[in-house]
Amino acid sequence: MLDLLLDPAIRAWVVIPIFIITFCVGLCRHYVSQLIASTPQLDRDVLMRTQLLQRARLLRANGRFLPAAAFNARKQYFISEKNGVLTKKKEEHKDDAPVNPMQDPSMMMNMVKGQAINYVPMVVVMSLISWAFSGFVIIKVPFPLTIAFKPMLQRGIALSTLSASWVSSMSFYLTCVFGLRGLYSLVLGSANYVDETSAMLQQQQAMARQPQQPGKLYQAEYDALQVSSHDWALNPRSEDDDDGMGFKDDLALVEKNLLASWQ
Amino acid sequence: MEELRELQRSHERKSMRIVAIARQNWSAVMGSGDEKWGFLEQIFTASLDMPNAEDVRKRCLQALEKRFPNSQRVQRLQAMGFEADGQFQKALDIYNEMLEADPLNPAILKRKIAVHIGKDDIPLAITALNKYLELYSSDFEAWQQLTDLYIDTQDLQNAAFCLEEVMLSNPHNHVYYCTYAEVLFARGGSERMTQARRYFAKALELNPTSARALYGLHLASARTMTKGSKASEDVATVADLRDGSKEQLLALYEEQGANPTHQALLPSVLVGSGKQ
Repeated sequence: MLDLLLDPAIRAWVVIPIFIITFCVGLCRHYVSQLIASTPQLDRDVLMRTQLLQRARLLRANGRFLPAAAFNARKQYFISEKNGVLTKKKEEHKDDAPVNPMQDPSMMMNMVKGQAINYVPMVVVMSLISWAFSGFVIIKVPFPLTIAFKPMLQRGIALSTLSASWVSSMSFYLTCVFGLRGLYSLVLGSANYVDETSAMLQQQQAMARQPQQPGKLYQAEYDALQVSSHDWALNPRSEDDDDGMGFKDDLALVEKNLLASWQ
Repeated sequence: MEELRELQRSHERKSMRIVAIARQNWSAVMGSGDEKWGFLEQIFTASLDMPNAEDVRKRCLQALEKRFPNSQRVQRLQAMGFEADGQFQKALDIYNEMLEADPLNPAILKRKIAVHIGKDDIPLAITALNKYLELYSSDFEAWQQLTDLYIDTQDLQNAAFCLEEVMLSNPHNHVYYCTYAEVLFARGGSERMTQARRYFAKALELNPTSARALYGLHLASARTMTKGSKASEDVATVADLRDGSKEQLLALYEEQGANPTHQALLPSVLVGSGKQ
Protein backbone atom coordinates (compact mmCIF):
# COMPACT_ATOMS: atom_id res chain seq x y z
CA MET A 1 0.00 0.00 0.00
CA LEU A 2 1.31 3.38 -0.93
CA ASP A 3 2.03 5.74 1.87
CA LEU A 4 0.47 9.14 2.04
CA LEU A 5 2.78 12.06 1.74
CA LEU A 6 1.82 15.12 3.81
CA ASP A 7 2.56 18.66 2.79
CA PRO A 8 5.27 20.09 5.09
CA ALA A 9 3.14 23.23 5.32
CA ILE A 10 0.70 21.18 7.36
CA ARG A 11 3.33 20.81 10.03
CA ALA A 12 4.13 24.50 10.08
CA TRP A 13 0.59 25.83 9.80
CA VAL A 14 -1.54 23.18 11.48
CA VAL A 15 0.29 20.96 13.94
CA ILE A 16 2.34 23.65 15.63
CA PRO A 17 -0.49 26.23 15.77
CA ILE A 18 -2.83 23.69 17.34
CA PHE A 19 -0.23 22.91 19.91
CA ILE A 20 0.39 26.55 20.70
CA ILE A 21 -3.30 27.42 20.80
CA THR A 22 -4.04 24.62 23.21
CA PHE A 23 -1.16 25.58 25.43
CA CYS A 24 -2.09 29.26 25.52
CA VAL A 25 -5.73 28.50 26.23
CA GLY A 26 -4.60 26.32 29.13
CA LEU A 27 -2.47 29.15 30.47
CA CYS A 28 -5.34 31.61 30.22
CA ARG A 29 -7.62 29.17 31.97
CA HIS A 30 -5.15 28.89 34.80
CA TYR A 31 -4.96 32.62 35.34
CA VAL A 32 -8.67 33.21 34.92
CA SER A 33 -9.57 30.59 37.46
CA GLN A 34 -6.99 32.06 39.77
CA LEU A 35 -8.70 35.40 39.35
CA ILE A 36 -12.23 34.31 40.06
CA ALA A 37 -11.52 31.56 42.55
CA SER A 38 -13.29 32.46 45.76
CA THR A 39 -11.96 31.30 49.07
CA PRO A 40 -14.60 29.24 50.79
CA GLN A 41 -16.09 31.11 53.69
CA LEU A 42 -16.27 29.20 56.92
CA ASP A 43 -19.71 28.95 58.32
CA ARG A 44 -19.79 29.08 62.08
CA ASP A 45 -22.49 26.43 62.35
CA VAL A 46 -20.81 24.00 60.01
CA LEU A 47 -17.50 24.54 61.72
CA MET A 48 -18.88 23.87 65.16
CA ARG A 49 -20.76 20.86 63.92
CA THR A 50 -17.77 19.15 62.41
CA GLN A 51 -15.63 19.90 65.42
CA LEU A 52 -18.26 18.66 67.84
CA LEU A 53 -18.89 15.48 65.93
CA GLN A 54 -15.22 14.80 65.62
CA ARG A 55 -14.76 15.19 69.33
CA ALA A 56 -17.61 12.82 70.08
CA ARG A 57 -16.15 10.31 67.68
CA LEU A 58 -12.77 10.50 69.35
CA LEU A 59 -14.39 9.95 72.70
CA ARG A 60 -16.02 6.82 71.43
CA ALA A 61 -12.86 5.54 69.84
CA ASN A 62 -10.35 6.34 72.55
CA GLY A 63 -12.52 6.81 75.61
CA ARG A 64 -11.24 3.64 77.15
CA PHE A 65 -7.93 5.30 77.84
CA LEU A 66 -9.54 7.75 80.25
CA PRO A 67 -10.56 7.07 83.82
CA ALA A 68 -14.20 6.15 84.18
CA ALA A 69 -15.19 9.42 85.84
CA ALA A 70 -13.67 11.47 83.05
CA PHE A 71 -15.32 9.35 80.39
CA ASN A 72 -18.72 9.55 81.98
CA ALA A 73 -18.46 13.29 82.49
CA ARG A 74 -17.83 13.70 78.80
CA LYS A 75 -20.58 11.32 77.87
CA GLN A 76 -22.98 13.29 80.00
CA TYR A 77 -21.78 16.49 78.38
CA PHE A 78 -22.67 15.11 75.00
CA ILE A 79 -25.85 13.13 75.55
CA SER A 80 -27.42 13.82 78.94
CA GLU A 81 -31.21 13.95 78.83
CA LYS A 82 -31.65 17.58 79.79
CA ASN A 83 -28.82 19.55 78.31
CA GLY A 84 -26.41 17.30 76.52
CA VAL A 85 -24.92 19.09 73.56
CA LEU A 86 -25.84 16.36 71.12
CA THR A 87 -29.28 15.96 72.64
CA LYS A 88 -30.03 19.61 72.07
CA LYS A 89 -28.57 19.75 68.59
CA LYS A 90 -30.43 16.64 67.63
CA GLU A 91 -33.73 18.21 68.65
CA GLU A 92 -32.90 21.51 67.00
CA HIS A 93 -32.03 19.98 63.70
CA LYS A 94 -34.63 17.26 63.73
CA ASP A 95 -36.78 18.77 61.05
CA ASP A 96 -34.07 20.33 58.95
CA ALA A 97 -34.58 19.55 55.35
CA PRO A 98 -31.66 17.77 53.83
CA VAL A 99 -29.21 20.30 52.59
CA ASN A 100 -28.86 19.93 48.90
CA PRO A 101 -25.58 21.32 47.64
CA MET A 102 -27.37 22.30 44.46
CA GLN A 103 -29.52 24.72 46.41
CA ASP A 104 -26.66 26.41 48.13
CA PRO A 105 -26.14 29.47 45.96
CA SER A 106 -22.45 29.95 46.66
CA MET A 107 -21.79 26.30 46.00
CA MET A 108 -23.78 26.50 42.82
CA MET A 109 -21.90 29.59 41.76
CA ASN A 110 -18.57 27.90 42.28
CA MET A 111 -19.60 24.95 40.25
CA VAL A 112 -20.91 27.07 37.42
CA LYS A 113 -17.69 29.05 37.40
CA GLY A 114 -15.62 25.91 37.31
CA GLN A 115 -17.67 24.42 34.53
CA ALA A 116 -17.63 27.60 32.51
CA ILE A 117 -13.88 27.91 32.72
CA ASN A 118 -13.40 24.33 31.77
CA TYR A 119 -15.86 23.93 28.99
CA VAL A 120 -16.44 27.27 27.32
CA PRO A 121 -12.89 27.65 25.97
CA MET A 122 -12.83 24.00 25.09
CA VAL A 123 -15.95 24.27 22.97
CA VAL A 124 -14.86 27.53 21.38
CA VAL A 125 -11.42 26.23 20.46
CA MET A 126 -12.84 22.98 19.26
CA SER A 127 -15.24 24.65 16.89
CA LEU A 128 -12.47 26.98 15.77
CA ILE A 129 -10.21 24.09 14.96
CA SER A 130 -12.84 22.06 13.24
CA TRP A 131 -13.74 25.12 11.21
CA ALA A 132 -10.16 25.95 10.24
CA PHE A 133 -8.41 22.65 9.99
CA SER A 134 -10.99 20.02 9.22
CA GLY A 135 -11.01 17.52 6.46
CA PHE A 136 -7.45 16.25 6.40
CA VAL A 137 -5.05 14.21 8.45
CA ILE A 138 -2.13 16.00 9.99
CA ILE A 139 0.16 13.47 11.63
CA LYS A 140 0.77 9.78 11.70
CA VAL A 141 1.52 7.85 14.83
CA PRO A 142 4.63 5.75 14.27
CA PHE A 143 3.00 2.42 15.01
CA PRO A 144 0.13 0.46 13.54
CA LEU A 145 -3.21 0.59 15.29
CA THR A 146 -6.33 -1.51 15.04
CA ILE A 147 -9.46 -0.30 13.39
CA ALA A 148 -11.07 0.40 16.76
CA PHE A 149 -8.95 3.50 17.14
CA LYS A 150 -10.33 5.08 14.04
CA PRO A 151 -13.23 6.99 15.60
CA MET A 152 -10.88 8.22 18.29
CA LEU A 153 -8.01 9.36 16.13
CA GLN A 154 -9.79 10.35 12.96
CA ARG A 155 -12.65 12.44 14.14
CA GLY A 156 -14.10 14.41 11.31
CA ILE A 157 -12.75 12.13 8.61
CA ALA A 158 -14.95 9.36 7.30
CA LEU A 159 -12.59 7.32 5.23
CA SER A 160 -13.01 3.63 5.81
CA THR A 161 -9.84 2.59 4.02
CA LEU A 162 -7.46 5.02 5.70
CA SER A 163 -5.01 3.37 8.09
CA ALA A 164 -5.85 4.00 11.74
CA SER A 165 -2.42 5.46 12.39
CA TRP A 166 -3.34 8.75 10.81
CA VAL A 167 -4.57 11.43 13.16
CA SER A 168 -6.96 14.21 12.28
CA SER A 169 -6.68 17.75 13.57
CA MET A 170 -9.63 17.44 15.91
CA SER A 171 -8.21 14.35 17.56
CA PHE A 172 -4.82 15.95 17.78
CA TYR A 173 -6.37 18.89 19.60
CA LEU A 174 -8.04 16.61 22.11
CA THR A 175 -4.82 14.72 22.64
CA CYS A 176 -3.08 18.01 23.33
CA VAL A 177 -5.72 19.12 25.83
CA PHE A 178 -5.28 16.03 27.92
CA GLY A 179 -1.62 15.44 27.23
CA LEU A 180 -0.23 18.82 28.15
CA ARG A 181 -0.72 18.32 31.86
CA GLY A 182 2.93 17.55 32.45
CA LEU A 183 4.01 20.64 30.58
CA TYR A 184 1.64 22.82 32.60
CA SER A 185 2.90 21.54 35.88
CA LEU A 186 6.39 22.29 34.63
CA VAL A 187 5.47 25.84 33.66
CA LEU A 188 2.95 26.78 36.33
CA GLY A 189 4.07 24.74 39.28
CA SER A 190 2.30 21.71 40.58
CA ALA A 191 -0.71 23.48 42.04
CA ASN A 192 -2.22 24.72 38.83
CA TYR A 193 -5.84 25.04 37.96
CA VAL A 194 -5.54 23.47 34.56
CA ASP A 195 -5.60 19.96 35.81
CA GLU A 196 -9.20 18.99 35.39
CA THR A 197 -9.02 15.72 37.20
CA SER A 198 -7.92 17.38 40.40
CA ALA A 199 -10.62 20.00 40.02
CA MET A 200 -13.21 17.32 39.60
CA LEU A 201 -11.88 15.43 42.56
CA GLN A 202 -12.13 18.53 44.68
CA GLN A 203 -15.68 19.08 43.62
CA GLN A 204 -16.60 15.57 44.55
CA GLN A 205 -14.92 15.89 47.88
CA ALA A 206 -16.73 19.14 48.56
CA MET A 207 -19.99 17.40 47.80
CA ALA A 208 -19.16 14.49 50.02
CA ARG A 209 -18.14 16.81 52.80
CA GLN A 210 -21.36 18.74 52.58
CA PRO A 211 -23.40 16.85 55.12
CA GLN A 212 -26.76 16.04 53.72
CA GLN A 213 -28.75 16.39 56.89
CA PRO A 214 -27.28 17.76 60.09
CA GLY A 215 -30.06 16.34 62.24
CA LYS A 216 -29.30 12.85 61.02
CA LEU A 217 -25.62 13.23 61.79
CA TYR A 218 -26.32 14.35 65.32
CA GLN A 219 -28.78 11.56 65.79
CA ALA A 220 -26.30 8.96 64.61
CA GLU A 221 -23.57 10.21 66.87
CA TYR A 222 -26.01 10.44 69.76
CA ASP A 223 -27.08 6.84 69.31
CA ALA A 224 -23.55 5.59 68.96
CA LEU A 225 -22.42 7.38 72.06
CA GLN A 226 -25.38 6.16 74.03
CA VAL A 227 -24.54 2.53 73.52
CA SER A 228 -20.83 3.00 74.10
CA SER A 229 -19.84 2.07 77.59
CA HIS A 230 -16.66 2.67 79.43
CA ASP A 231 -14.22 -0.16 79.65
CA TRP A 232 -11.07 1.18 81.16
CA ALA A 233 -8.11 -0.01 79.22
CA LEU A 234 -5.83 0.07 82.20
CA ASN A 235 -7.98 -1.99 84.52
CA PRO A 236 -6.52 -5.26 85.67
CA ARG A 237 -8.79 -7.91 84.31
CA SER A 238 -8.52 -11.58 85.02
CA GLU A 239 -7.33 -13.61 82.13
CA ASP A 240 -10.42 -15.78 81.86
CA ASP A 241 -12.47 -12.69 81.01
CA ASP A 242 -10.56 -12.55 77.86
CA ASP A 243 -12.57 -13.58 74.86
CA GLY A 244 -9.53 -14.55 72.91
CA MET A 245 -9.70 -11.43 70.79
CA GLY A 246 -6.63 -9.26 70.60
CA PHE A 247 -5.12 -10.31 73.84
CA LYS A 248 -1.91 -8.55 72.97
CA ASP A 249 -3.66 -5.26 72.49
CA ASP A 250 -5.39 -5.52 75.81
CA LEU A 251 -3.93 -2.79 77.91
CA ALA A 252 -5.55 -4.07 81.04
CA LEU A 253 -2.47 -5.96 82.05
CA VAL A 254 -0.17 -3.07 81.50
CA GLU A 255 1.43 -3.28 84.92
CA LYS A 256 1.92 -7.01 84.79
CA ASN A 257 3.30 -6.81 81.30
CA LEU A 258 5.71 -4.19 82.40
CA LEU A 259 6.91 -6.34 85.24
CA ALA A 260 7.29 -9.27 82.92
CA SER A 261 9.39 -7.23 80.53
CA TRP A 262 11.71 -6.26 83.35
CA GLN A 263 12.40 -9.79 84.36
CA MET B 1 18.04 25.52 49.08
CA GLU B 2 17.24 21.86 49.16
CA GLU B 3 17.61 21.88 52.91
CA LEU B 4 15.25 24.84 53.25
CA ARG B 5 12.69 22.99 51.18
CA GLU B 6 13.11 19.92 53.33
CA LEU B 7 12.66 21.91 56.54
CA GLN B 8 9.62 23.61 55.11
CA ARG B 9 8.04 20.29 54.44
CA SER B 10 8.83 18.80 57.82
CA HIS B 11 7.85 21.94 59.77
CA GLU B 12 10.90 21.59 61.94
CA ARG B 13 11.77 24.54 64.06
CA LYS B 14 15.47 24.75 63.36
CA SER B 15 15.51 28.49 63.33
CA MET B 16 19.24 28.85 63.74
CA ARG B 17 19.92 26.68 60.74
CA ILE B 18 17.33 28.39 58.59
CA VAL B 19 18.66 31.84 59.32
CA ALA B 20 22.20 30.66 58.69
CA ILE B 21 21.24 29.21 55.33
CA ALA B 22 19.41 32.38 54.44
CA ARG B 23 22.40 34.56 55.30
CA GLN B 24 24.72 32.48 53.21
CA ASN B 25 22.52 32.01 50.19
CA TRP B 26 20.50 35.20 50.14
CA SER B 27 20.89 35.73 46.42
CA ALA B 28 19.85 32.15 45.72
CA VAL B 29 16.73 32.64 47.83
CA MET B 30 15.81 35.82 46.01
CA GLY B 31 16.38 34.16 42.67
CA SER B 32 14.20 31.13 43.24
CA GLY B 33 11.13 32.24 41.33
CA ASP B 34 7.70 31.73 42.83
CA GLU B 35 9.06 29.48 45.51
CA LYS B 36 10.80 32.52 46.92
CA TRP B 37 7.75 33.76 48.83
CA GLY B 38 7.39 30.58 50.80
CA PHE B 39 11.06 30.69 51.65
CA LEU B 40 10.83 34.29 52.73
CA GLU B 41 7.96 33.52 55.06
CA GLN B 42 9.86 30.60 56.49
CA ILE B 43 13.01 32.64 57.00
CA PHE B 44 11.04 35.45 58.56
CA THR B 45 9.37 33.23 61.16
CA ALA B 46 12.70 31.58 61.86
CA SER B 47 14.42 34.90 62.37
CA LEU B 48 11.81 35.79 64.99
CA ASP B 49 13.35 33.10 67.16
CA MET B 50 16.83 34.48 66.79
CA PRO B 51 18.52 37.41 68.39
CA ASN B 52 20.52 39.64 66.05
CA ALA B 53 18.51 38.62 63.02
CA GLU B 54 16.75 41.94 62.51
CA ASP B 55 18.51 42.50 59.21
CA VAL B 56 17.20 39.26 57.76
CA ARG B 57 13.77 39.96 59.12
CA LYS B 58 13.61 43.39 57.62
CA ARG B 59 14.72 42.17 54.23
CA CYS B 60 12.14 39.39 54.18
CA LEU B 61 9.30 41.62 55.23
CA GLN B 62 10.20 44.34 52.75
CA ALA B 63 10.28 41.91 49.87
CA LEU B 64 7.00 40.33 50.90
CA GLU B 65 5.25 43.64 51.44
CA LYS B 66 6.37 44.85 48.07
CA ARG B 67 4.97 41.81 46.36
CA PHE B 68 1.77 41.36 48.38
CA PRO B 69 0.79 44.81 49.65
CA ASN B 70 -2.60 43.87 51.11
CA SER B 71 -2.06 40.29 52.04
CA GLN B 72 -3.43 39.00 55.34
CA ARG B 73 -0.59 36.61 55.61
CA VAL B 74 2.03 39.35 55.34
CA GLN B 75 0.09 41.46 57.81
CA ARG B 76 0.18 38.58 60.22
CA LEU B 77 3.92 38.26 59.79
CA GLN B 78 4.32 41.94 60.44
CA ALA B 79 2.31 41.65 63.62
CA MET B 80 4.39 38.67 64.67
CA GLY B 81 7.42 40.87 64.23
CA PHE B 82 5.88 43.39 66.61
CA GLU B 83 5.21 40.60 69.05
CA ALA B 84 8.82 39.51 68.94
CA ASP B 85 9.90 43.06 69.67
CA GLY B 86 7.55 43.23 72.63
CA GLN B 87 5.25 45.78 71.02
CA PHE B 88 2.19 43.80 71.96
CA GLN B 89 -0.34 46.58 71.60
CA LYS B 90 0.63 47.20 67.99
CA ALA B 91 0.36 43.50 67.24
CA LEU B 92 -3.02 43.26 68.94
CA ASP B 93 -4.34 46.19 66.93
CA ILE B 94 -3.40 44.45 63.71
CA TYR B 95 -4.95 41.17 64.81
CA ASN B 96 -8.17 42.82 65.92
CA GLU B 97 -8.47 44.58 62.61
CA MET B 98 -7.94 41.31 60.76
CA LEU B 99 -10.48 39.51 62.91
CA GLU B 100 -13.10 42.06 61.99
CA ALA B 101 -12.76 40.95 58.41
CA ASP B 102 -12.68 37.26 59.25
CA PRO B 103 -13.85 36.54 62.80
CA LEU B 104 -13.30 32.79 62.56
CA ASN B 105 -9.72 32.77 61.35
CA PRO B 106 -8.06 30.20 63.61
CA ALA B 107 -4.53 31.39 62.95
CA ILE B 108 -5.28 34.94 64.05
CA LEU B 109 -7.25 33.80 67.09
CA LYS B 110 -4.27 31.73 68.13
CA ARG B 111 -1.88 34.62 67.56
CA LYS B 112 -3.97 36.74 69.91
CA ILE B 113 -3.71 34.07 72.57
CA ALA B 114 0.02 33.98 71.98
CA VAL B 115 0.13 37.73 72.59
CA HIS B 116 -1.56 37.24 75.94
CA ILE B 117 0.91 34.54 76.85
CA GLY B 118 3.77 36.73 75.70
CA LYS B 119 2.51 39.50 77.93
CA ASP B 120 2.41 36.99 80.77
CA ASP B 121 -1.27 37.66 81.18
CA ILE B 122 -2.14 34.05 81.88
CA PRO B 123 -5.75 34.47 83.10
CA LEU B 124 -6.63 36.40 79.96
CA ALA B 125 -4.87 33.82 77.82
CA ILE B 126 -6.86 31.06 79.50
CA THR B 127 -10.16 32.82 78.85
CA ALA B 128 -9.24 33.49 75.25
CA LEU B 129 -8.11 29.94 74.71
CA ASN B 130 -11.32 28.60 76.19
CA LYS B 131 -13.30 30.77 73.80
CA TYR B 132 -11.20 29.51 70.95
CA LEU B 133 -11.79 25.92 71.98
CA GLU B 134 -15.52 26.48 72.02
CA LEU B 135 -15.20 27.00 68.29
CA TYR B 136 -12.42 24.61 67.44
CA SER B 137 -13.05 21.96 70.03
CA SER B 138 -11.02 19.29 68.30
CA ASP B 139 -7.81 21.28 68.02
CA PHE B 140 -5.76 19.19 70.36
CA GLU B 141 -2.69 21.40 70.16
CA ALA B 142 -4.79 24.14 71.68
CA TRP B 143 -5.87 21.75 74.41
CA GLN B 144 -2.22 21.04 75.03
CA GLN B 145 -1.44 24.72 75.33
CA LEU B 146 -4.34 25.14 77.73
CA THR B 147 -2.99 22.28 79.82
CA ASP B 148 0.33 24.04 80.16
CA LEU B 149 -1.38 27.24 81.19
CA TYR B 150 -3.48 25.48 83.79
CA ILE B 151 -0.45 23.70 85.17
CA ASP B 152 1.31 27.05 85.38
CA THR B 153 -1.53 28.40 87.47
CA GLN B 154 -1.69 25.22 89.57
CA ASP B 155 -5.22 24.55 88.42
CA LEU B 156 -4.72 20.82 88.29
CA GLN B 157 -8.34 19.81 87.96
CA ASN B 158 -8.76 21.75 84.76
CA ALA B 159 -5.36 20.69 83.58
CA ALA B 160 -6.41 17.08 83.98
CA PHE B 161 -9.51 17.74 81.92
CA CYS B 162 -7.50 19.27 79.11
CA LEU B 163 -5.00 16.46 79.20
CA GLU B 164 -7.81 13.97 78.85
CA GLU B 165 -8.83 15.72 75.66
CA VAL B 166 -5.27 15.55 74.40
CA MET B 167 -5.07 11.87 75.23
CA LEU B 168 -8.30 11.23 73.37
CA SER B 169 -6.79 12.74 70.28
CA ASN B 170 -3.73 10.55 70.39
CA PRO B 171 -3.78 7.60 72.78
CA HIS B 172 -0.37 6.38 71.73
CA ASN B 173 1.82 9.20 72.98
CA HIS B 174 3.68 8.36 76.15
CA VAL B 175 4.31 11.99 77.05
CA TYR B 176 0.61 12.65 77.48
CA TYR B 177 0.19 9.64 79.71
CA CYS B 178 3.16 10.61 81.80
CA THR B 179 1.97 14.19 82.23
CA TYR B 180 -1.52 13.03 83.02
CA ALA B 181 -0.20 10.63 85.63
CA GLU B 182 1.85 13.43 87.15
CA VAL B 183 -1.20 15.62 87.39
CA LEU B 184 -3.16 12.82 89.02
CA PHE B 185 -0.27 12.21 91.37
CA ALA B 186 -0.06 15.86 92.31
CA ARG B 187 -3.77 16.01 93.03
CA GLY B 188 -3.45 13.14 95.43
CA GLY B 189 -6.05 10.81 96.90
CA SER B 190 -5.75 7.05 97.00
CA GLU B 191 -7.86 6.33 93.96
CA ARG B 192 -6.05 8.90 91.87
CA MET B 193 -2.76 7.54 93.09
CA THR B 194 -3.64 4.12 91.77
CA GLN B 195 -4.72 5.64 88.49
CA ALA B 196 -1.50 7.61 88.35
CA ARG B 197 0.45 4.42 88.86
CA ARG B 198 -1.34 2.75 85.99
CA TYR B 199 -0.80 5.67 83.67
CA PHE B 200 2.87 5.79 84.55
CA ALA B 201 3.03 2.10 83.74
CA LYS B 202 1.25 2.73 80.45
CA ALA B 203 3.69 5.49 79.59
CA LEU B 204 6.56 3.16 80.33
CA GLU B 205 5.08 0.49 78.17
CA LEU B 206 5.09 2.92 75.27
CA ASN B 207 8.55 4.25 76.03
CA PRO B 208 10.54 1.92 78.28
CA THR B 209 13.46 4.31 78.81
CA SER B 210 11.58 7.29 80.13
CA ALA B 211 13.27 8.23 83.40
CA ARG B 212 10.47 10.65 84.15
CA ALA B 213 7.88 7.90 84.04
CA LEU B 214 10.13 5.56 86.01
CA TYR B 215 10.45 8.06 88.82
CA GLY B 216 6.73 8.60 88.70
CA LEU B 217 5.96 4.92 88.78
CA HIS B 218 8.36 4.41 91.64
CA LEU B 219 6.89 7.19 93.73
CA ALA B 220 3.31 6.32 92.91
CA SER B 221 3.71 2.66 93.77
CA ALA B 222 5.57 3.52 96.97
CA ARG B 223 2.79 5.90 97.87
CA THR B 224 -0.01 3.45 97.12
CA MET B 225 1.72 0.91 99.35
CA THR B 226 2.12 3.15 102.34
CA LYS B 227 -1.37 4.51 101.92
CA GLY B 228 -2.67 1.17 103.10
CA SER B 229 -3.88 -0.24 99.88
CA LYS B 230 -7.21 -1.94 99.64
CA ALA B 231 -7.48 -5.67 100.01
CA SER B 232 -8.42 -6.06 96.40
CA GLU B 233 -5.16 -4.56 95.32
CA ASP B 234 -2.41 -6.91 94.60
CA VAL B 235 0.16 -5.86 97.19
CA ALA B 236 2.85 -8.04 95.77
CA THR B 237 2.47 -6.56 92.31
CA VAL B 238 2.73 -3.06 93.63
CA ALA B 239 5.84 -3.92 95.61
CA ASP B 240 7.30 -5.51 92.52
CA LEU B 241 6.52 -2.41 90.55
CA ARG B 242 8.20 -0.22 93.12
CA ASP B 243 11.34 -2.32 93.27
CA GLY B 244 11.37 -2.97 89.56
CA SER B 245 11.18 0.70 88.72
CA LYS B 246 14.03 1.36 91.11
CA GLU B 247 16.20 -1.25 89.46
CA GLN B 248 15.30 0.08 86.06
CA LEU B 249 16.24 3.57 87.10
CA LEU B 250 19.60 2.46 88.43
CA ALA B 251 20.25 0.48 85.28
CA LEU B 252 19.22 3.42 83.13
CA TYR B 253 21.61 5.77 84.91
CA GLU B 254 24.36 3.21 84.59
CA GLU B 255 23.71 2.75 80.94
CA GLN B 256 23.60 6.44 80.12
CA GLY B 257 26.87 6.96 81.95
CA ALA B 258 25.52 9.52 84.35
CA ASN B 259 27.64 11.50 86.74
CA PRO B 260 28.90 9.04 89.44
CA THR B 261 27.87 11.29 92.28
CA HIS B 262 24.35 11.33 90.92
CA GLN B 263 24.40 7.56 90.65
CA ALA B 264 25.57 7.28 94.24
CA LEU B 265 22.82 9.59 95.40
CA LEU B 266 20.09 7.73 93.60
CA PRO B 267 19.49 4.86 96.05
CA SER B 268 19.01 7.26 98.92
CA VAL B 269 16.37 9.17 97.00
CA LEU B 270 14.43 6.09 96.06
CA VAL B 271 12.40 4.17 98.56
CA GLY B 272 14.20 1.07 99.86
CA SER B 273 13.12 -2.32 98.75
CA GLY B 274 14.11 -4.30 101.85
CA LYS B 275 11.01 -3.49 103.86
CA GLN B 276 7.74 -5.40 103.72
